[in-house]
Amino acid sequence: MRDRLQLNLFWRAALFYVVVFYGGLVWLFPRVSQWAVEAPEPLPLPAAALSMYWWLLLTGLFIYVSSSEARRQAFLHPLYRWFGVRGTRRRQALRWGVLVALPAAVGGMFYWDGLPRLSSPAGIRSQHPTMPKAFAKLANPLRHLSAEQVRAYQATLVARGAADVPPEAARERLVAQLVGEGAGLYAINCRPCHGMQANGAGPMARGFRLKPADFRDPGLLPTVVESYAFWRVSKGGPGLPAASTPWDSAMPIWELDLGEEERWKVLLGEYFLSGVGPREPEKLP
Amino acid sequence: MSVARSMGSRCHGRPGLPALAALLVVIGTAKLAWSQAPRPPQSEQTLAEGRRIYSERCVYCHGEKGDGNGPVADYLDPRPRDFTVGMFKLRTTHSGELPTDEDLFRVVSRGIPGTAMPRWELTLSEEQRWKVVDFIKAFSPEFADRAFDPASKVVQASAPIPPSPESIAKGRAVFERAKCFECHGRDGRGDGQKSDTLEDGWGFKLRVRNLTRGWNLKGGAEPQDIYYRFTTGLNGTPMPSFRTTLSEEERWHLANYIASLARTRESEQVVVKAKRVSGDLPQTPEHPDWKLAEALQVPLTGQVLARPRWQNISVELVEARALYNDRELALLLVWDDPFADTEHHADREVSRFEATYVRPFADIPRKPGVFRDAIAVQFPVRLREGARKPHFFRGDASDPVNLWLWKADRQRQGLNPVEEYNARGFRTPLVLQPEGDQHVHGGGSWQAGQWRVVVRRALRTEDRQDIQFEEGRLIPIAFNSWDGSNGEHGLIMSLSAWSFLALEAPVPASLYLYALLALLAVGLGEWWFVRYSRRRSLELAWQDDPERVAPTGWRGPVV
Ligand code: HEC
Ligand code: HEC
Ligand code: HEC
Repeated sequence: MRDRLQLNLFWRAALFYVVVFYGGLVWLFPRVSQWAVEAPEPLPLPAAALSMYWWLLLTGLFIYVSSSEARRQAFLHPLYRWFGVRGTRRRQALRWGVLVALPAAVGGMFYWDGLPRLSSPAGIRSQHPTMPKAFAKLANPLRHLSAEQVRAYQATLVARGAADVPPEAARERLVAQLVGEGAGLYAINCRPCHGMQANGAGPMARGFRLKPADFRDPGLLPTVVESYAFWRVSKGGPGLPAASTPWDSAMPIWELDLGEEERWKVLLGEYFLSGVGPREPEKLP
Repeated sequence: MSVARSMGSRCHGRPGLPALAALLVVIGTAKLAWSQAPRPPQSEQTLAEGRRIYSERCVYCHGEKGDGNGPVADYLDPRPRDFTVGMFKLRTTHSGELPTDEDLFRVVSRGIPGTAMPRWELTLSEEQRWKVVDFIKAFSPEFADRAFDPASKVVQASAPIPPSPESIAKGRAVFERAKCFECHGRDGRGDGQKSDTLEDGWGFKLRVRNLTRGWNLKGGAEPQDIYYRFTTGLNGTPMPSFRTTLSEEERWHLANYIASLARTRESEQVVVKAKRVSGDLPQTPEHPDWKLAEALQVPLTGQVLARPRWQNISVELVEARALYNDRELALLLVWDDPFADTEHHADREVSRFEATYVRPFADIPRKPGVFRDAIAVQFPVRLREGARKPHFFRGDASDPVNLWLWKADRQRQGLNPVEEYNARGFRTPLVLQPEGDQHVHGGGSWQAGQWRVVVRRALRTEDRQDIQFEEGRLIPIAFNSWDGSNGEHGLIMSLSAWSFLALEAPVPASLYLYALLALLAVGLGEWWFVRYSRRRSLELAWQDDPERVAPTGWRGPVV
C-alpha cells in the first residue's frame, strides 16, 4: 500500500507545479487579497506578474530536477518507461491520447492568443489630483464666523421680535441655520446624483459610468481639505486634469449656477448630511 | 377620474377585534415584514428624536408642515407625499384606508424606486426609522382616531400561488379581462389609451408606471408586493383596487403575470459588438437579421449636468444592436416610450429657466402634441489613442462630437428622419452639417409603447467632421433621447455616458498558419521523444535484466 502511494519525481514535480501555480497563485492569492483589503471581488494577479511567477516556477523546478544525476534519472526514467514501453492496450490508448492532445492544446493556445481582441476600456484614474494653487489657500468663510456677523444676526433676531439672545447662543443658531440652508441647497442641486443620504446613490446616478462620489466613503471626502472640495464644486468634471478622465465625469461646473457663498454653504450641508468632516489643513511651522 | 378617498367605508371597530386582526396579519404577511427587531416603545422622547430626524433628513422634500411642500418639491414628479391628509399609496390595507405602521416602516426602509424617495435603511437604523414613522403619523389627525384604525382593514392574503407558465398565462387572461391595458397598455409599458389623462389626488398629472421596468416598481417587483398593489389600490391615484372584482386566485395569477413582465437592467457590459454580415444590411427594424446581433442595454439618466437640468425623465434604457458589412454600419435602437409624439412646435420650446433644475409642473408643457420624440447617437469626431475622448455630454471646445439625430416628426413628414450634427460642448448649440455632408439614413416605427429605429451610414466618408469607422477598435458611443409628451426638448433630455462600439475584426489568415506550425512542431518533438524513450527504456530494462530484453533482438548499449 505504501509503495503505491509513493509518487515518482515526475508526478511530484507536476503536483508541486499544479498546487503552487493554480492552487496558490491563481486561486488562493486573489481570495486572500480580497479578504485583506475587503474588496467586493477576488483580486487576481496582473497577467505580467503571473507569467513571471510561471517562469520562476518552471526554472526552479528545472534546476531542482537537473541538479543531480539521481534526480535527473528519477524524473526522466518513468517518462522513458511510459512512452517507450508498449505495455497494455489501455496504456497504448492513453499514450496516443496524450500524444494527440498535447500538440492540439498548444496549437489551440496559439490560436486563442492570436485572436483579435479589444483592449479593456477601463483605465487607471487619479481620484484626487493636485488642486490649482489659487484654490489651495481658500477657507470656508462660513465656518469661522466673525463677531461682527454674529452681532448682525443677533440684530435680525431682535428685529424679528425675539428676546435678546446671548452671543454664544446666537452663534449656535446662526451656524445651525447656515447648515440647514446648505443642506437645502444640497437637496435641490446635488441630491439627484450624490443622493439625499450623501452615499453617491442619487436617483440619477445609475446612468453614469463614473459614479458620483460617495461622501460617506472614509477614503474620499475626509481625505481632502475643504478648499479641495470647493475647487471640485466650482470647476466640476471638466476642471480635472487628463489623468482624472474629465471626459467621463458628470460632476457639473457649479460656478456657472451657484454664487461663491452658495458653494461654500452647500459644502456645509454636504458635510452635515454625510456625517464626515474635511481634513484639517496642515499648519506650517 | 375620481380619486377621493372613500371615507364612508371606514367603520368603527370594537376594541379587541383589531388586535386579533393584527395578530392574524402578522401571521399572514410574514414575508412582507421588513423590521427585524421589535419596535421600541413610544414616548415623548422618542417622538422628539423622530422630529429631529425628520427635520434633518425628510424636511427638504416633505416640508416643515409635512404637507409635501419642501424646497425640493417643485422639481419632482411625483411630488413628495403630503402627510397631512393621511393618503398613502403603498399599503396592505383596503382601498381608502390608512396604512399600518408596518406599511410605513417598509416604505421608509426601502424607499420608492423611480422617485426621489430614498431608501432609508441604508443610513437610518431600525430604531431611527420607527421613531420617524411615529413622528410623521402625527401630521395627520386621522392616525390618532381609533375609528380609522387600519389594523382591522388589512387585506387577508391567502398563501401565494407559485409562479409557473400556466399561472402566468392565466394571469395574462385576467389582465385582459380586468382591462388593465386601458391604462397600462397591451404589454404593460404604460401606453394605454387612458394613460395621458390621469391625475393624482392633488390635481397633478400622473404618469402610468411602465410595468416592464422591474427596477422601478414602487412597491417592489416580487409577486407578493404586486399582489398588494392592485388588491389595495394606490390611494390618491386612479389606480383602483381589484379586491372585490377579482377572486383571490385570479389575483395571484395576475401578480405572477405582472412579475414576469419585469425586466432587469443589471449589466456589466459596455460594448456594442457589431457583427459582420456578408449581404445587405437590414433597412427596417423588423428585419430578422437583427437577431444575429447581440443587444447592449445602455442606461440613460437625466441631463442634470447643466442648465436646464432635468430629473423627471421617461427614457431610462436604450437597447442597441449593430451590424456591418464591407460598406456600411447599421444600428438598431429600441426604447420604451408610452406615446408616439410625431409633431414638433418649435415656437413652444422654452429657453429661459429661473432655477437650476426644470420644474415639471410649471416650466414646460408635458402633453402629447407639442414636442417630438427623438434619439441621438453620439460619436467622437476623432478617435484617439489611449483613454482620451471628448466629454460624454456633447464633447468639448477642443474635442468635438458627431451626432446622428433621428426625429419622429421628420419621419412622419416623409423626410430623411436622420440628420447629422456636430457639437463642441453643451454651451454652444448643435451645428447642422451642410446638405451635401448628410450621409446618415434610417427609419423607425412605434408599437405598443416602444420605438424601434434603424440608422445607417457608410463606414467611411469624405467629411472631416464625421466619425470614420475602423474594425477592431473600441469606438466611444453615447445616446441622447427625448420623449416629447414628457416635455423634453433641447437640453431637457435623457443621456448616457460613453459606451463603446466595436466592429468585430475578422480573424487574420496568418493566425491559422501559426497555430498549425506550433502544432506540427510539438508533434515532431513528441515523435523524437517517443523514439528516444523506446531506446532508453530498453536500455533501462537491460540493466535490470538482460535476459528479458534478448527476445527483442536488441544487443545492449553501444559502449
Ligand atoms: C450630474 C451629477 C452630479 C451632480 C448634480 C453633482 N455631482 Fe459631484 N460628482 C459627480 C461625479 C460623477 C463625481 C465623481 C467624479 C469626479 O470626481 O469628478 C463627483 C465628485 C464630486 C466631488 C469630489 C469628491 C472627491 O473626493 O473626489 C465633490 C466634492 C462633489 N462631487 C460635490 C458636489 C456638490 C457639492 C454638488 C452639488 C452642488 C454636486 N457634487 C453635484 C456628479 C455630480
Ligand atoms: C428627496 C426627497 C425626499 C426625501 C428627502 C424624503 N422623501 Fe419621502 N417621498 C418622496 C417622494 C417624491 C414621495 C412620493 C413618491 C410617490 O408618490 O410615488 C415620498 C413618499 C413618502 C411616503 C409615502 C409612501 C406611500 O406609501 O405613499 C412616506 C411615508 C415617506 N415618503 C417618508 C419619508 C421619510 C420618513 C423621510 C425622511 C427619513 C422621507 N420620506 C424623505 C421624497 C422624499
Ligand atoms: C385607471 C387606470 C388604471 C387601471 C385600469 C389600472 N391601473 Fe394600475 N396603475 C395606474 C396608475 C396611474 C398607477 C401608478 C400610480 C403611481 O405611480 O403613483 C398604477 C400602478 C400599478 C401598479 C404598481 C406599480 C408599482 O410601481 O409598484 C401595479 C402593480 C398595477 N398598477 C397593476 C394594475 C393591474 C394588474 C391592473 C388591472 C387589474 C391595473 N393596474 C389597472 C392606473 C391604472
